[in-house]
Amino acid sequence: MGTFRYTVRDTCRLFFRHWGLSLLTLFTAASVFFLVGGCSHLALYARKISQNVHGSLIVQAYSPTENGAGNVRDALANNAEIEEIRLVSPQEAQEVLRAKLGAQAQSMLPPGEIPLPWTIEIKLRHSDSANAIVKRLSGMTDIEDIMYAGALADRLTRLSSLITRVALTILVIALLVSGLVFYNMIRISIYSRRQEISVMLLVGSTRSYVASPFVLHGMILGLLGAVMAVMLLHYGESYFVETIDEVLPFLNVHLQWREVLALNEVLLCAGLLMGWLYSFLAVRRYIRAAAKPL
Amino acid sequence: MEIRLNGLTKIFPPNIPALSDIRLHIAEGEFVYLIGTTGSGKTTLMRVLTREVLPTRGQVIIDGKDLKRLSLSSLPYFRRDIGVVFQDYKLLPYLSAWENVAFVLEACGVPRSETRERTDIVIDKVGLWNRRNLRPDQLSGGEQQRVAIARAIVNAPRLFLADEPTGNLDVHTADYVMKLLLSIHAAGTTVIVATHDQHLVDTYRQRVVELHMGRLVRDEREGRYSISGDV
Repeated sequence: MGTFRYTVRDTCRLFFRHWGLSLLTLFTAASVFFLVGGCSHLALYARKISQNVHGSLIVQAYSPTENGAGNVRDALANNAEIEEIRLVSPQEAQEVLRAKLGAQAQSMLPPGEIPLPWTIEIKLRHSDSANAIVKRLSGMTDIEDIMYAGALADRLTRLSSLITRVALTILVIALLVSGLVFYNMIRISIYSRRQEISVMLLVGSTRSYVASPFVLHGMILGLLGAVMAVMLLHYGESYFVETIDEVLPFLNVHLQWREVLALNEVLLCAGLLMGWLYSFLAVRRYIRAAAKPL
Repeated sequence: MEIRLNGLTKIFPPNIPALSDIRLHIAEGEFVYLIGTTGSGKTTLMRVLTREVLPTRGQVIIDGKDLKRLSLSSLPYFRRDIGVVFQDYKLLPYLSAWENVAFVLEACGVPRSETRERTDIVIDKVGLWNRRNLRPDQLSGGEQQRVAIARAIVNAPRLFLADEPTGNLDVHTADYVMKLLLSIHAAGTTVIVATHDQHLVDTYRQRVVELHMGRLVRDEREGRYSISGDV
């Protein structure tokens, strides 16, 4: 109980005595965790967009005759990779096209013979199987053309993994830089109290007893920095999502609340852990040296 | 606490001898003045006894324990049996006199109610009850000295070390401090006082150990400050 009281009291003292340094460390930690959280969010959004594109990936194959289209459908009917196959007649396709063209449809699509082929729309369970399906369709004599957005999806996947790697690199660098700031802040706090520490060690305080306020100070700063970053990220993200929804509504970049919550939890734990680790390292090194006899 | 120094030698780097081949036995409950000129090694010897300084050669045995073999983890528990009054007092400036004393018990994990009780007794014993809430910078030199003594005795140490406890004090206050030290000694504590104060040594006659250039040059029962009685 005595240790707890001393730890809390001296931690408060450290905040007041080194308020400038504490604020500096707090803002550094908040900036670092904002950067880390922002990068993580960016990686999540990139993955989400890539998944959306992959999820809505449809392979379209064209056949000149209804029989040909039927044959293709029958040939692919039992394929486990395919979620759904739909045949679109030239008439249906023409209606869709008319609707899209609007007023220009009259001049571009003259009445009479419909120039459009039968369309076979194939929805896949996994985008990974697109190339195999396309290869199989290419070998069928009833197919005259194939269209799908696989190349775009692949590019998005590559972009997503690149963003994840960049985010991880920034994360590591940011944590190291922030760690150094923490380490130095605690060292300065310790240095300013070196006389007290030497007295405490001389009157029989254990090293862990002396270290505890410094470590708690670091942990609280780390946690507060992470809390500030989470709040900033929350407002920043709302603005980002609103803007994307206005400009590119089809991207549908809304993250699930569970993903956001998990990320926030990770940031808060990282703040606490980082504060503990670096202050512990700084204080342990100093106190070991101070306790060592000449 | 019983103290045995067997050939204690301390040489600070690069090659500065501070203590040379000191052989000394102090029995439990003894009162010893450690005298000598500035730089004679008194403070180094005190620091060896608290294990702030390790001997280069020789042995320091306190209560049968060789200090060289004492681990860092058991050092705090060893120091809780020693009360030290430093030459510059080393009081914590932001704590009141009462808190400076209580802090030692707190650091040793003594329960709060017992800390309060013991601190009150000791503060009263050194005559600072009315000044207990003042910070060190609001106290006179003599009062600061008494706070330092209170801090050193509050944990009921078995060995009491005081480095120049009456330096910079007037004769009247020095007498008061000395009587305090004698009362500590009367309770069975081994007391070692490093001093330059001839009046003190000659008035309150006890065992005198004199150091010169790091060497033990005199060890006298009920000795005086100087052999001839002059300065």
